[in-house]
Amino acid sequence: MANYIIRRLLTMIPTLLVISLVVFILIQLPPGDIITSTLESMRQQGMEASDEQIEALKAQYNLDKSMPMQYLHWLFNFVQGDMGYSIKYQQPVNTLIWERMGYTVIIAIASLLFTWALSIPIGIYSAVRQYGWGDYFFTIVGLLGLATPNFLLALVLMYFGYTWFGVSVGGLFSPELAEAPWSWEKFVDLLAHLWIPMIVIGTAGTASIIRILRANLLDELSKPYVTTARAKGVRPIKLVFKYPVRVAISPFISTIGWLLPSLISADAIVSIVLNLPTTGPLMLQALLSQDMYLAGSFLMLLSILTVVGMLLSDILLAIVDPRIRYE
Amino acid sequence: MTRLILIFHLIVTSTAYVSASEIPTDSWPVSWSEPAKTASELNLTVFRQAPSLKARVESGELPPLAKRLPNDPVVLEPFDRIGQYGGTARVFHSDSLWSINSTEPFMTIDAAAGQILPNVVKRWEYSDDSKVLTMYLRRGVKWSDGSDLTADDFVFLHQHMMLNKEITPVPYPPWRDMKSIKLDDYSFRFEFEKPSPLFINTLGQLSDFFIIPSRFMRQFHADFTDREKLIERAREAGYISWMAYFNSILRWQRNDPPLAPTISAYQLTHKTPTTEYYVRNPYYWKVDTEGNQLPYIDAVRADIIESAEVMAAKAATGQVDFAGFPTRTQDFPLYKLGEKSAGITTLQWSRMTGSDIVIMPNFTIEDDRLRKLYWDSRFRKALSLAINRDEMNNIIYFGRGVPRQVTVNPSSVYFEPEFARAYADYHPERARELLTDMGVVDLDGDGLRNYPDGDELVLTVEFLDSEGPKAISMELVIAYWREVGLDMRLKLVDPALQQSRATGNLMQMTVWHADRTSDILFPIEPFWFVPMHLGWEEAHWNLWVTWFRSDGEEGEQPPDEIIQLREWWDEMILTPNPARRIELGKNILRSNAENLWSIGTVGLGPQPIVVSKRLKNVPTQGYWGWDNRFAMTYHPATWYLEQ
Repeated sequence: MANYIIRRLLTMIPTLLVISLVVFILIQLPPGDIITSTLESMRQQGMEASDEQIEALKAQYNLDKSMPMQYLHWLFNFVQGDMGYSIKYQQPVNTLIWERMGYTVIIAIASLLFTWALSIPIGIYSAVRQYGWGDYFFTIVGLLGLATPNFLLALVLMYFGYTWFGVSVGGLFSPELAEAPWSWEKFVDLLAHLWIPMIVIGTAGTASIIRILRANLLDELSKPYVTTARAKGVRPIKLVFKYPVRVAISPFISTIGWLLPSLISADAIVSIVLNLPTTGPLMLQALLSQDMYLAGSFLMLLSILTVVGMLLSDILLAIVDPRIRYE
Repeated sequence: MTRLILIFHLIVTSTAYVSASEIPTDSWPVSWSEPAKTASELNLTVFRQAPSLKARVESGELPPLAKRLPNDPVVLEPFDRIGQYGGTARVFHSDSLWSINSTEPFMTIDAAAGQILPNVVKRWEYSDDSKVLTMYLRRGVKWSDGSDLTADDFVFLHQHMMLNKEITPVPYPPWRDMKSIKLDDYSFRFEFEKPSPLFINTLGQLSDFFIIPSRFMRQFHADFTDREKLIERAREAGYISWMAYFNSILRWQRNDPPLAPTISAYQLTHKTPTTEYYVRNPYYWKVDTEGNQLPYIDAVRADIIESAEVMAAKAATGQVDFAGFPTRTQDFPLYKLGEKSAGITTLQWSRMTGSDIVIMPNFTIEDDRLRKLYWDSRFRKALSLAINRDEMNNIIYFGRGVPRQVTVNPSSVYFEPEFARAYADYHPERARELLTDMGVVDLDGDGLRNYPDGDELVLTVEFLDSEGPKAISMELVIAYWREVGLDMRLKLVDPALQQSRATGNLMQMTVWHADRTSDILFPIEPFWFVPMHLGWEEAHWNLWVTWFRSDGEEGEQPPDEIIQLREWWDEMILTPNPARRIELGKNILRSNAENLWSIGTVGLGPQPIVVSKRLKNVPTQGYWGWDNRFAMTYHPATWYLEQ
């Protein structure tokens, strides 16, 4: 096992190097870079810039160096934990990402728990009562959830949140409490706001998990050991939970790995609509304005978390499912 | 119901045609159109302060009011009545920057947005040749950290930022070619290379960016502090250079202190990713007519929101106290609903845009066939005559805009009614004739006109959809142009792309809004009328601008009419003679009306201003635009929250 993990870790290095190169090329591809945006803000201050000035500005941000040099510069700093400098926000990328990380993690975990709490019981129910009215009902609801654009759901929930509960539109706290130190009241206020993003982001994932679980469980339920157990008179509840569910649940473990990258990308559009202080909108802005370091660091972080997440999933799977062994 | 509303709007239109353009000056206190009076002129001797400040004085944290106010504070008359102290105003991020905080340039602008009035600069004199501008400051004005505002703060920008090779790698005019001289603590002088009689317009409109808290900022400037240590501090704070650190402190781009002090009514204290927090400046140097120190409101909380829909929803449900910058014309009905359910008030201020849409064909585009079309005035006239401006006005503006060509506002001294009427009528038949005359006809029978050589003719308009109803207007224009057989496609771009493609001479056609059409900015920045500017607003005549700038070395030589335009403008900004200036300005506008270098649709439209139930003293009418810096001329420091 230890051997296997070390091997996996070593193969991650070339993978990430290739990814970093692709990321760097991708963010350089579209025309126009951040310097033009910087000049735009100078224009708002009533200044006009000459060609020489543009060159001088580029020099300030290392943009006058050759592409390979820029790449190496960026990569070297990234490895050392310095993700670079956001030209748009005039702040270090590390600061920008970390100040948003707390709430991003809270929302990601809350919506994941919501997804599981909803989809696992429904998935099991649908499999056990295949083609029953409940199965059809939940399938329809789940697919509706999958098909509804998240931002639309967000807008609708925001409307009802305000008209029914008086919860202010958007944000994670009521304005009066946003700056207050942590207290019970503030925690309750967070919960009162958290349910909207939790439901909005959570519902999108429920349908697929319900369907996967249902399909896996159906496969298991038709196997001879289940029939045997049933013939021997094992109680139906115990029968389902003791073995088939445990086997059917393994796909979730392989999706735990996906959780890591979603911590960073969050759900950008929903976060913009709901005005959440998460990293998603920041990443979208970075890409739109081609804020090279910020966008690059985001994409790189996403890739690293994906690769690490996959490894974690594989290890967990091996632990949970005794049939899987790596030699 | 819809039809009823439409009929109602049609009735209103006829009156709006006259009234929307000019606001009667008695809509505001008379004192807003005159140089501000001071306490001694009004015999005010007793001053009072907000209860929250009083407590801080008593605890010894702040000096007493008399020590904080100048000897002779400026008196602002509130719009309606003397306000109450206290409260936190809720606004959106863009309004904290542009509206609710007071904008304090050297000089300021009057309520009717036509003249320059004193502000921190109490008095100024031009030399006879308009090359030397001497300015005298009010005494005893203080920065929000309690330090004195002196002439040093007015020459610092020029001497230590504009001429500093590290902060400004390549200096540019007028800063490059001028001198700034401090005479004593309260007077200073700008000396220009050429006569600059209109530089005070720049100072009145923009110069809040030019006043620098020099004493405070010296700690962060390499000329005044240990260079190595400063660079070390900047690195530690995460900045790429000391200049980036300096700018970010000065322009409030940081989340936490150090942040530069201000002479405005509110000081930024800190930011989170979603909110900005401002508190009142205890040293603000203006009082109301009873001697109460302004501002009335204690603090401002600004939500940083990116989605326009969310902002509209929040404004309509009364969750902000003031919204003016992000509100959209097409959301008027939503705000009107909010008046009933949330008790908000929706005011209609007048946008200062001569036209909300300026369609600019790119005369210097690489494509020769397109150029040939654009250069033919028949083509431009056809494009204009094909647009049904009355219908646009009814559909988008509820009949409350003014259908017109791109030209200055009616209140301008340069205005003539015929400039606004030029080719602004709806004559699709005439448009078709003009196009057919040019040989632009439908050769392949698909209902759309072709290039004279038979190829498909498609006009692509790339534009940025912000400030004003651009996208919704252009969608109507597609239909109008198709009606006369022209195929036009729209392409939305993001700000960075707009900037790079517009300045890169890559756009076939683009759209902006015609601000700079008042007497404040038209003479110094006639973007739409004279080739004198390169920027994201324009894909108009870049190579001609370059030609003028490089004295004919680079770019392309423009046709004679254009050279004439530029000669008029060159003289216009130099002449100290106002009558001659007006004559030259009218020449420029007349030539534009005849030649139609750009095409307008509807201007002087209503700007929705959403005011909460509790915010008082906001004028019912006002001009809204870049020319008068949005709310600056309506003194937001005198607005208050009813407790």
